[in-house]
Amino acid sequence: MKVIGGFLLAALVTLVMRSTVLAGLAARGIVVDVLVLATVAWSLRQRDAWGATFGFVLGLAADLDASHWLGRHALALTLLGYGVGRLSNTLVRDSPLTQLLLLAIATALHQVWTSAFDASGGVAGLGWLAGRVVLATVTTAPLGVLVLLLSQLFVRRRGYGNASGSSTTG
Amino acid sequence: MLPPAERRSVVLVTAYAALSLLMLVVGERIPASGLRGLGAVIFAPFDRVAGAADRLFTSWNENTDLHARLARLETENARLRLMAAETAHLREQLGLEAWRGLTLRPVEVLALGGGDPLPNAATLSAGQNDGVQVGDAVLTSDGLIGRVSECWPDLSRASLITDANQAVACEVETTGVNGILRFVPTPRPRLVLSAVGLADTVRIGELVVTSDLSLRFPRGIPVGRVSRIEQDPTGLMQEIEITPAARMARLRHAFVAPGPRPPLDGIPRPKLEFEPSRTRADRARAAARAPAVPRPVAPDTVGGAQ
Repeated sequence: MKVIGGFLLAALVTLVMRSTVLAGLAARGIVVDVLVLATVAWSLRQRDAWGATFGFVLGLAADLDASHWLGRHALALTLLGYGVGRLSNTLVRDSPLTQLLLLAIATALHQVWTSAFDASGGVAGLGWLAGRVVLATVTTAPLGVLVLLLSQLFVRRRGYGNASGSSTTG
Repeated sequence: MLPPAERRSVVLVTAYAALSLLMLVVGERIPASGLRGLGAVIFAPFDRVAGAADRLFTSWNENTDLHARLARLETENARLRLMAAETAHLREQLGLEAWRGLTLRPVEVLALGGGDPLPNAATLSAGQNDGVQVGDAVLTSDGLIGRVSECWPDLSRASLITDANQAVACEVETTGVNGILRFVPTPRPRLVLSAVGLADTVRIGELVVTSDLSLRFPRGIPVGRVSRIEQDPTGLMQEIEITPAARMARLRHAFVAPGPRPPLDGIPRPKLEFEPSRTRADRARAAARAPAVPRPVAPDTVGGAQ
C-alpha cells in the first residue's frame, strides 16, 4: 500500500511539474526531462517490475497529453524503467557517479527516441536535434543527482543500497 | 530458467512494450479526448496549486511591470479613442461598415503540455458551461496564442500556435501582405510565415496580425514581429521568421474570443461571425450598391489555413 501511495504521489508530482514550472522553462529553451528523472529515481528504488510499471504509466499520461503518437513515451520509459531497475541489482545505487551516468544515458536515449518523431527537416535538422539531446542530458543528469541526494537527506535514511540489496524499502 | 520474480518482470515489461507498440500503430484511431478531459479534471486542482506558487513568486516584479504598462496603455488608449471616433466618422462617410469589437472572456491557463520539449497545448479554466466552444480564438493582451481544440464542461484545451498542425492566415500589418503562419519544429523550432511571394515587400520588425482571410480568427489580432527573411527551399517564395507577440513561456492568463460558428448552409465564409451586425437599412443600401451580375463564389482561405 505504501508503495502504491508513493507511486501515485511521484507520478502526480512529476506530471504537475512537467505541465507547469518545467513547461515554462522548456519554452525558454531549458529542457529538463523530468519523465526520465522520475522513472530512473523510481526504478533505482523499486527495481525492475515497479520501474517498468512506473515508466509505462508516466509515459502513457505524457502521451495522452501530447495528442499524437500515443505510446511513444510509454514504450521508451517502460524499457528504461525496466533496464535501470535490472541494473540497480548489480550497481552501487547510492553512488552519485552511478546515478549521474544512468540519468545521462537514460535521458540521451529518451531524447533521441522522442526527437526521432520530430525529425522532419532532413540533415539540416540533425544539428538542432543533437543540441536538444545534449542540452537535456546536461541539464537533467546533474539535477537528477541533486534531487536524489536531497530526497535521501529528506527521508533521513538510506533509500538506496548497493548490489547486495540493502535497500530499506525493498 | 529464470527465477519466478524475474519471469514476472519479463512478462510485465513485454506486455507493456507490446501495448505501447500497439498504441503507436493504432493510437490515432483511439478517441482520447475523453481521457484527456478526465485527466484535466483530475489535475486541475494540483495545477492550480502549482501555478499559484509560481504566481506568488513572480507577482512582485510583475506588479511593478504592470503598473508601468498600465500607465503607458492608458495614454495610448486616450489617443486611440480619439482616432477611433475619427475612423468611425470616416468609415461612415465612405459607406464602410463599422468595426465590431471582440467579446473577450478571461480564463486562467492551468497547465501547459503536449509538445516535447516545447509546449503546444494549454489547459484553460473555462469550458462549455462558461460559453467556450471548440474553434474559439485564445489570446493574451500581447497577441494570439492559439485556439480551443477540445472542450469539456468546466475546462477546455487550446492548441497553441506552437503546434505544428496549426496554420493561421496572417497579414503584415503595414502592407497587407498575406501569408500562412506555421510552427516548424525542425531544423530549429520557429514560427514561419510562408507562401509570401518574392515580390512582396516585408521588412524586419513589422507586425504580423491575423488576416481578413482567416476562417477561424478575427482580423487584426497581433501574432508577432518579423525577425528574419529568407527564401524558401524552392526559391519561389519568401520564408519569414516571426517572433511571437505573446510570451509563450509565461502563459498564466488569457482571453477566449468566440470564433466563427459554422454557417447553416455549410459553406464556409471568412469573418462570418465578425462582420458588423447589419440593420435592415444597411442591407437595403448594400443591395442598392451591389452589381447586377451574379458574383463569383469566393475562394476558400489560402492554402487551407484557418
